[in-house]
Amino acid sequence: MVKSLKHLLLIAYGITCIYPFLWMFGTSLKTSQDALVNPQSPIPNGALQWGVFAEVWNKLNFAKFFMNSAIVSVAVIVGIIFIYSMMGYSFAKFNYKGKKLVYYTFIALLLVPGVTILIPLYINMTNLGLANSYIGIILPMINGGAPFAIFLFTSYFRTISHELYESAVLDGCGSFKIYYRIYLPLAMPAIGTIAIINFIGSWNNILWPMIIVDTKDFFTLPMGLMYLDSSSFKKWNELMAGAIITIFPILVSFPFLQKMYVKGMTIGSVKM
Amino acid sequence: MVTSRNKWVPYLFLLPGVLLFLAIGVYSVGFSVLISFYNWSGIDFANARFEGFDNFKDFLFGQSPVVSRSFYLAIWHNLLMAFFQVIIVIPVALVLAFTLQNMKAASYYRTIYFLPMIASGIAVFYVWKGLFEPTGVLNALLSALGLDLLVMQEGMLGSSSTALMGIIITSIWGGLPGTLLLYYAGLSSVNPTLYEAASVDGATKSVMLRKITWPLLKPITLIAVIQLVNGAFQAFENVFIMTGGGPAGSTEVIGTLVYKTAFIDNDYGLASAIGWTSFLITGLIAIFSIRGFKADI
Repeated sequence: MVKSLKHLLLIAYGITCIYPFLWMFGTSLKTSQDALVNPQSPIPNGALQWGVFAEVWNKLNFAKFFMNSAIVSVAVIVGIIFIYSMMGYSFAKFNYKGKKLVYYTFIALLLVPGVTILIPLYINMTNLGLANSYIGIILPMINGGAPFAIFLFTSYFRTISHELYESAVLDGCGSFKIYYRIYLPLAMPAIGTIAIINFIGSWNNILWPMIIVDTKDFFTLPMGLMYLDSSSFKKWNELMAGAIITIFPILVSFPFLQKMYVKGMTIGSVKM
Repeated sequence: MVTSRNKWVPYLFLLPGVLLFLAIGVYSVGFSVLISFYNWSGIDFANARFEGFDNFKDFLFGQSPVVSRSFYLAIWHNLLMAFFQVIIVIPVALVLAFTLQNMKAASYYRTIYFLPMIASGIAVFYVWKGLFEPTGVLNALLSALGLDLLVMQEGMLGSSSTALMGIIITSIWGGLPGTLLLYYAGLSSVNPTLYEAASVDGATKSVMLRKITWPLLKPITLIAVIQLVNGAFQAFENVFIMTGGGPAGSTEVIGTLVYKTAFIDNDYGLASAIGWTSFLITGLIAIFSIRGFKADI
């Protein structure tokens, strides 16, 4: 009895989690007439309109947007993992002057409101000639991912037994080799978590690309979606097809992401 | 912990990150603090006029009543978002985490609950916009339940009295899973022998809850609260997509206010001043919550 009540509660919450996605999917398969007249039902009237996807894909250059999003996300993730795992390793393994100052400066960045530094950042990147370029989109996003990545890598490297380090030194390994060959591979769970969080963050980011990019050549998917919204008034079926295209990589990979994420999450939060 | 023989080795590992920070972070942060004391409409900084604390006086002390009004209204909306998110998300996440604990099917549920957390972004904000339409799902549901009184003629986001509620609902939907998973991970990390030992010693359930479970959940709660509050104060994308701050400024938050002040009104100085004030507020809230929980991070 208690058990079925528990399931009831968990299922009810599960439905609220899934429903928006059902609606998104159902609406994208409707005719525009049906989507406008029966917006309350996620089930299309009549034949499923798979053609909407192709229409939307070709109407705007979604293939290009997709590529742009992929390039940006991959570069951001790889950059963050390399740059900040090195910093985390340094914070976790060495004693030196100024360590605390640097560490807390970076952590405090977490609270800096993104919108505020957008203005000088925009001016800065434009002066460097990086407006409308991949580098211009990517670098600030890497910097923005710093606090969380540093925090997680530092905590994680601290949990790795120090004897490992000492025996590597005895075997004649230098600091960099120890980082690259031993600590980085051991940090897979932390890398997974950071990769996921920054994948989602950079994939969904609209604010920064919206400001630094003004030609469609460098539009990312979310910008494409906003453009679609402004160019097809109240065509919910098209908008939802665009929305699905936008989050498709997240939707297909989420069970896998979930496993990695849960593994890594316990490092940062519980072992504090 | 090692004190390296070559003193520069640990610094070398910091180099790429620090360089990037100097090139992007420091410059932007510094410049943005600087221009908050100027009147500047962008492009060439030679046109900027130093004004001291005028920008701050404008919105903080009502030197410019219009700006001041929208600032306090925006802060109020951020506060409401933070408040409702915390008081709803924390208890619900706790209840769900306790329910989920020791369930055989937990991993299936967890997978489903993860979905809003990772997909909550621009695509989903458009979905919510659709669900909140006047003829949308929410109103249909309300009238199906016989709650015709609650049906919103203009849709939840279309009326200035309900729009903020709509934004809060979507934030809760997106924020709950993260907190739930944190609590769940925390609960699962307790060594079960701890409870066994306690019950052998004659501890009651409530004692165990207070002495074993809560000390573990306290730091998690702190993190969750800070995340939710910080998230609420940095809200931008959901508001920008769903309402754009409207109708009639009823969902204007600091994020959208700064954006509009800078990129639409071209008043960069004022925008920076507002942004930094909100940074100080968020920082203070974080410090107080850490003090309040007496947790050492």
